[in-house]
Amino acid sequence: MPATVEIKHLSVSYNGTNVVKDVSFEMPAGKVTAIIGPSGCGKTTLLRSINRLSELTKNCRVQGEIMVDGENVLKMDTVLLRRKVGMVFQQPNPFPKSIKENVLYGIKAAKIKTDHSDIVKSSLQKAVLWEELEHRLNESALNLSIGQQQRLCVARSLAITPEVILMDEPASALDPVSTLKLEESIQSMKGDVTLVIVTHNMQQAKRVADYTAFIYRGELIECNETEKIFANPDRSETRDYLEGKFS
Amino acid sequence: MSNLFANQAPLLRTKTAPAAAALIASAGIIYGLVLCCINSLETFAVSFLAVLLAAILALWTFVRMAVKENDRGLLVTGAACMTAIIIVTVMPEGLPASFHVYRSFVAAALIIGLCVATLCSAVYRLLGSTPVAFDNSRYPILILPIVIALISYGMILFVLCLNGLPQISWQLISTPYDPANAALRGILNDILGTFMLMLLTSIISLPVGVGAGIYMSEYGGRIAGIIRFSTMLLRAMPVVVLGLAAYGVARMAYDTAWQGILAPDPTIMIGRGTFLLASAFLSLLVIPVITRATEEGLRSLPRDLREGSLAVGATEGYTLLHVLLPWSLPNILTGLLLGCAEVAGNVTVIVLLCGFGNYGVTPFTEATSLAHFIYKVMFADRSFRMSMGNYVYAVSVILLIITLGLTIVYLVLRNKFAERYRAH
Ligand SMILES: Nc1ncnc2c1ncn2[C@@H]1O[C@H](COP(=O)(O)OP(=O)(O)OP(=O)(O)O)[C@@H](O)[C@H]1O
Ligand SMILES: [Mg+2]
Repeated sequence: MPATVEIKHLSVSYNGTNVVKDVSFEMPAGKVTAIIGPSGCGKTTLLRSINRLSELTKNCRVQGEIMVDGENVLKMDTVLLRRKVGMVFQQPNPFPKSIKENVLYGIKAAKIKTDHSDIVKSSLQKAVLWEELEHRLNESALNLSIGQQQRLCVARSLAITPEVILMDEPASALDPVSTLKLEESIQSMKGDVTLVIVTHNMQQAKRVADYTAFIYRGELIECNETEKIFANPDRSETRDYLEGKFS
Repeated sequence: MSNLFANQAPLLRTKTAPAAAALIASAGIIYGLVLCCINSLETFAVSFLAVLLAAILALWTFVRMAVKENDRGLLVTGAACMTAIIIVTVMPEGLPASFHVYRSFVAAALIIGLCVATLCSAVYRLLGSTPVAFDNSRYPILILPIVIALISYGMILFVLCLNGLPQISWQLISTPYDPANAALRGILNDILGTFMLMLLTSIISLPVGVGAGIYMSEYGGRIAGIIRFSTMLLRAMPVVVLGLAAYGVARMAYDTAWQGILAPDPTIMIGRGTFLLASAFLSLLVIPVITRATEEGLRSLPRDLREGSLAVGATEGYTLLHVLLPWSLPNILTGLLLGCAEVAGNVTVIVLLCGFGNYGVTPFTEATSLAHFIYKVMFADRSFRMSMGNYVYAVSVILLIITLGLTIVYLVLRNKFAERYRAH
């Protein structure tokens, strides 16, 4: 079941320096929300505070509320939270294990008893990887191409049927064809899971996102339907950014 | 830019000078090495240096004409060569015999140094005086120490095998030693004892070392600092102190509940220790090694992998078992191998604990080991020296074989794990 993610007055600081400043917006259930903004504006920081990976950074402090399905993330058990909110990283990071073990990693970690081969198949299918890898399930994941590895990471986070998946510039290491395949898999997940995708690629945001949030210097400038943002943004900063006037 | 070689005589283009210089320099290196062993060859030193000087000057002329470059390095080498000739000529000779020897060592050192320098220059010119050629021409400097080390190893091995191999017999390695029974004059229990020590020490130090390594890399903080400090202290401590402490513990265990565990049961001498006690003290040497290896392995884990595991809802513990430890397994194995090598060769820690191995090899019997055998031949009772003294080289060779086998097993395992868990 996809869940709504609501961010309320979120502020994040490193060593006392605010890099996300009082951000509030909502990512609707089952939709794709893109977060765009220039480099260093705090997109990754924002994303990592949703599944609380930010806590692995010692000097990072998070204030405010993040609600997933009406439950405050900051009060949840981190392991249970991360089973609900999966993540795909900027660089593909498959485990040095077989393809199958990679997909099943979360299931086994959570000690869920289910039919493993079903899960492998459906996850790989949603990640548009099944046809390519059907007969290579026991090969090492490290033998895959970078693009395949990234989709395997998508399959890995899908396998535990999360409510939300966070993607931090998932296509930045991929070539155009792999990028399209990744976007295809994003399309196939729509409706089943809430997707939040950070991207530098405006065209990609336009292609896959239902909603787009523009962040600048740690502040949310504007969040709206993608079509609206790209066609007729409310704020002049957004227009300037989309037209490439600053980066 | 016209071709640099356009106006040169064919002789220069064929690079005769660098080739000759390289040959003479290579021969000189060999001559220098041989000179260290056969001192009388020293009579040719001055003549050789004169030839080398000629080669250097020829090379310099070649460079001057072929590349139109004044190779100052070669001039310096040439000047050094002159100085060497003077030194070797005026050094006293005909005085006490040892002076003769000293002079040959001095000549050898000078010749090797000059020849390496000349060889580098000659190879550089042979390869065409390009920047890449310059890099490649420095190999003689790197290779020479390696060659010298290999020759030394080879000689040590040769001496050991020459003396040791003929002594090794099935009889020797399949019979235990018993002072009370003249028919039992072998080293079986020393061999088994060495393995027993390695096994017990591994069993003790693996969990402790790996645990401490995990703690230090994962949690840090003050306690980790204390652990790091104490492991460093353990490594820095004079090992003989550990040996004495082990002896003290064995003495204290005598006639208490610990007799039979730390001190061997059929005690003939107070202060002898069991394999278990010996291994416990050897572990103190091995634990720091494994700790450090584990810590380094864990630290080399890419951050992304750990976060990837946590991000799919794995607990810290599951991540540790399924990502962190497999990743650092090759490092842990390295630590374990170094530890086992330490155990196989160490005498100092167990020197006061060991006996003759005539009570069998279990964790609770009197300790003994191959390394200690050699000590026993030198210092234990006369009858042992008389009957077993001839076998010291055989024992050394067997120790070498054991460590060699260990290293091979280690390499195979490590490559296997590294391939499986790291790849790329
Ligand atoms: N561990 C950290 N310690 C201190 N400052 C940090 C840390 N991580 C990030 N920052 C700072 O926080 C700000 C936001 O970083 P963040 O990684 O969120 O930007 P981003 O929008 O994801 O940029 P990019 O598009 O380049 O990935 C940057 O100014 C960065 O320097
Ligand atoms: Mg980022």
